[in-house]
Amino acid sequence: MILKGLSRRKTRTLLTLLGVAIAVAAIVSLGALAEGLTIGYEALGTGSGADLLVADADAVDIVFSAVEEEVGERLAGLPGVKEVDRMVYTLAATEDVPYFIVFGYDPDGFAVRRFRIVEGEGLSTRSAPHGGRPLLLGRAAADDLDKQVGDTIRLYETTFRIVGIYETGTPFEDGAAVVTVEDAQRLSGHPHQVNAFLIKLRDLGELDRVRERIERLFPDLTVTRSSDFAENQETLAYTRAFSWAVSFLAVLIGGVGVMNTMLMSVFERTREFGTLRAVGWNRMRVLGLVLGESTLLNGLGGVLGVGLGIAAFKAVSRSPAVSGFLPDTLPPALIVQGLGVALAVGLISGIYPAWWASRLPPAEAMRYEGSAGGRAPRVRVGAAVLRNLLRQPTRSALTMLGIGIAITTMVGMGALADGMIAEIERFVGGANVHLVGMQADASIDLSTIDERIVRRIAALPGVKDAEGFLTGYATVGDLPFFVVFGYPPRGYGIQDFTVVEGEPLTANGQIILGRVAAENLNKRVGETIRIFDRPFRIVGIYETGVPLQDGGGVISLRDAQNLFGQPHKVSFFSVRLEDPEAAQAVKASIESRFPEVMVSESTKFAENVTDLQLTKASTWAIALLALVIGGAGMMNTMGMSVYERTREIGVLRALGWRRSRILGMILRESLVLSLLGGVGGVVAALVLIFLMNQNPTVAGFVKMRFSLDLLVQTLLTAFVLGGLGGIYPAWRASRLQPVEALRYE
Amino acid sequence: MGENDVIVETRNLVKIYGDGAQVRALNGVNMRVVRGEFISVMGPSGSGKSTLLNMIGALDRPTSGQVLVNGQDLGEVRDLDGFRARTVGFVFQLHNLIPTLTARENVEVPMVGQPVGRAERRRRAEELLALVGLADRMDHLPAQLSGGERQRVAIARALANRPSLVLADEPTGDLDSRSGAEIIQLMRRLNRELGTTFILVTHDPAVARQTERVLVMKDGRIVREHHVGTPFEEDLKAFRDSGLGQAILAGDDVARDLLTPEEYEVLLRLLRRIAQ
Ligand SMILES: Nc1ncnc2c1ncn2[C@@H]1O[C@H](COP(=O)(O)OP(=O)(O)OP(=O)(O)O)[C@@H](O)[C@H]1O
Ligand SMILES: [Mg+2]
Repeated sequence: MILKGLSRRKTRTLLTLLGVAIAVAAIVSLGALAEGLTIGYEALGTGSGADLLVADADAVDIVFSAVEEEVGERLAGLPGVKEVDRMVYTLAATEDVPYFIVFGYDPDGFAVRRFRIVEGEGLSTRSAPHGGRPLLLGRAAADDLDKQVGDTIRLYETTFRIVGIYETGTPFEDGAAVVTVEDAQRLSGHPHQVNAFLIKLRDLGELDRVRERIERLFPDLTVTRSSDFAENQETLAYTRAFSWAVSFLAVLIGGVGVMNTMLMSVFERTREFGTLRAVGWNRMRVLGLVLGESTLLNGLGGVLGVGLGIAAFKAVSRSPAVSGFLPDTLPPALIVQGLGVALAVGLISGIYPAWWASRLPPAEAMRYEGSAGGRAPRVRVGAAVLRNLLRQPTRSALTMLGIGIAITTMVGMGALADGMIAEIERFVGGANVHLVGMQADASIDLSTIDERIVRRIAALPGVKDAEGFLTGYATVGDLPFFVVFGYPPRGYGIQDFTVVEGEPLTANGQIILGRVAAENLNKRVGETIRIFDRPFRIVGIYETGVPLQDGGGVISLRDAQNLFGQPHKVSFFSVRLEDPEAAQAVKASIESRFPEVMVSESTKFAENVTDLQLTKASTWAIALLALVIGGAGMMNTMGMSVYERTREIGVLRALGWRRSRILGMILRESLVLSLLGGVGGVVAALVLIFLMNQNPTVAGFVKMRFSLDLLVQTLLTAFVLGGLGGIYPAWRASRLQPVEALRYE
Repeated sequence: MGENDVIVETRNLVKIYGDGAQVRALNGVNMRVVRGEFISVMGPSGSGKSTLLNMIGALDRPTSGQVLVNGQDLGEVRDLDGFRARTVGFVFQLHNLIPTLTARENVEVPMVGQPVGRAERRRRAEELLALVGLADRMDHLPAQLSGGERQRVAIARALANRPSLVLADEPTGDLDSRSGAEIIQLMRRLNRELGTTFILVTHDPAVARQTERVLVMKDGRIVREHHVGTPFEEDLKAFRDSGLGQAILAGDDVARDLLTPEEYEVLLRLLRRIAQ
């Protein structure tokens, strides 16, 4: 009986299924991403064979951790410690893969032993045959990149020789490469630092004692049991939160769709419910029937979604760029989770329709005329389009809600991406700067350039001056992403940081704090602040109006280089020209002379940075997801609306209305509906953006930007959504044969 | 009666529905309607009345045969939508007004898409509603009108583009006999005043009797044709002289057994009227 209820309106059921399925697919595939990262980080910890892992206490993620190499020798000397291995973990760009994972391990250590060589030989042979720096490539990476033992591979500007292929069974590692610690340090731009030390103990019973001792000796380091390592990574927490947020959103929009379908289905069958009650069904049975339908609908959607998720997972796993971040096989727990969520949504969104159906007084329900003509509107105002939408106010409202949420997401994500891009452009560019540069192909967080290059660029013809600066993240106080800027105190770049209180930065050991950071940390001029356990005296407070800057602090370039273990390195540089018109020519001459550097005009920086493009792409992908689910709802609603009005459309055709006119009428309705939803979504997003920008933690990091462009894009999208969602139903309506339509009951 | 006076003519009209189990809804219909006539089509359910009307109104195409309206073969008309809008007006049995539109807007609907300006559309709709006696109900929604009033709106709508032909499929089927009679009288008046040709499909003999000519259909054919006034009465007389007619007049048990009380009442009344 439940199945029959659903199969009555096949298109509607299918569209609803689709909405739920996409939401579930999002849960499954995004969950797989979070899961893949977890597995990878677990491999780094537990898999390493180490008992303890020593890393930077204040680093947000192990990739940003930098521990002085000397620490290793002191760790090895501690009682109870059997062996200490160095580990470097960084990302480097290689052919076609922007984020290729590279590990640096001691060739003779215990940790590298886990990388089982299946072809060629291990790292221990110092220099590779045929020369070149030795590199071990994971099996999956070798397959994806089509490389064999003996081939060369380029990481940034350095060429490596593949000496062996390994397998560990963890995609995170099998999609990566292993090089010597020294080579990895060179790649990461931290010559005397490692990301972590791996410690093997003589006796596991001593674990807590050794741990306490290390933490006492090195207060700025954190010691974790290797098995707890993954759990302590903030990146993981963020990835999980992100995957949950997106899934939640998808489920929300899908849920609205299910509720809509169930409500419609219940409204239509009012008379039937009256009959069922009349023949002796009690309320609970009616309730159960509707809930059963809704749950079944979602269960099917869930199954479909899991299928879609698996397909997406399979497809994405093939791409070398991401396969390292995904698990080998889809974890069954995720499938269960996806199905569970689908069923829960079915139950929850079925409750109101079920309750409504069960509360119907039998006698009245049996007299019900059906929603098409019976519930005639009393509203006489407004255009015919609006009146048609008001025929089913609940349905129209729910559809608008779905579209509204999708549009809110789109605007919110867009504003976030635009905000981030604008900010990075501003802090990289600054005032009166014509060109900005960073390490070619590098991720923005990992860009490093040799100071000497900057000096040579400054000497090029046409260049007035050039200046490098360093950026890094640290956890300071409660702020997880405190951005530290290192600038030469007497350079031009630091002038952008207008000091509003105290003095400008003049010497090492000093810091000037952004206004927002000072407030969040509750610090004043004259006080001290510790970063990576080094004290800095606050000499001034500045304001720039750029949240990323106002939420961070500026120290001298030398201090920053020491702090982040990057002597003679900078993250970015800026160039001022004699003649701004010559920007293109100078850019070309810099890039041809220094291939490891990417230069762009300061206003076009974001366009050229892979990271920012990825951020933008992923926000669009999420927005698209939301829109697809919203669009399915739209199509559903318009389909229903056409269906209900079959007779009416027949009458219009009989009266001589052309197909095109009918098409136009339905399309107009769908456009109005989606535009209303769009406007509502924009308003909601504006409120959201306003609230977010009030929040100190968020505002200290990024200021969401709402631009006219975004508004136009959004409304256009809503328009397209309306058009696409409406076109099929409208087409169906226009194809109706007048005689058939008139005979329709 | 010159050729020009024939507004509707069908030639061997056949309509077959379905591919497998075929239904011959029309099985060779030949008929002619003269301009300005006011005629009705009767017949048992399923005899093909609505199908015939749909063919004449170009709502559907025949399987074979021809329909000529104003001398033009509908099979050769390219723009059937335009034909419907300009040449014919439809009145249906029920639920045929757009519930979201007011009476006036409903009457305007057929003029949308025709070369009629907004103001003119409005003026004409008001004029037509006044003509059908609804001058004070212009801005009411269908739900706020009685069944008879709704049907009058539908008639006004059918006349919107000044068609030469109005096709009405059981226009009184959903009304009580009094409002039904009023609707027929209205159509009759419009037929006389405007010269519009009317073809009504009905089950109600009282309605049929008010038309000039009755076509009787059975199994997709026109089996009889009455010119109201004489033949209808004659049929009744023949019935009065039959065994059952006699039995009814005599109040015989046979009549009471074979007929429902209502049928008995109606037939008795009719036969008594003939007898007088
Ligand atoms: N679209 C269709 N598909 C299949 N059969 C049809 C279709 N339309 C009509 N018929 C069949 O054609 C025959 C004639 O139908 P039609 O509607 O013309 O009868 P009618 O005389 O108007 O009957 P009623 O008095 O009940 O309205 C019937 O047997 C009907 O079932
Ligand atoms: Mg009929």
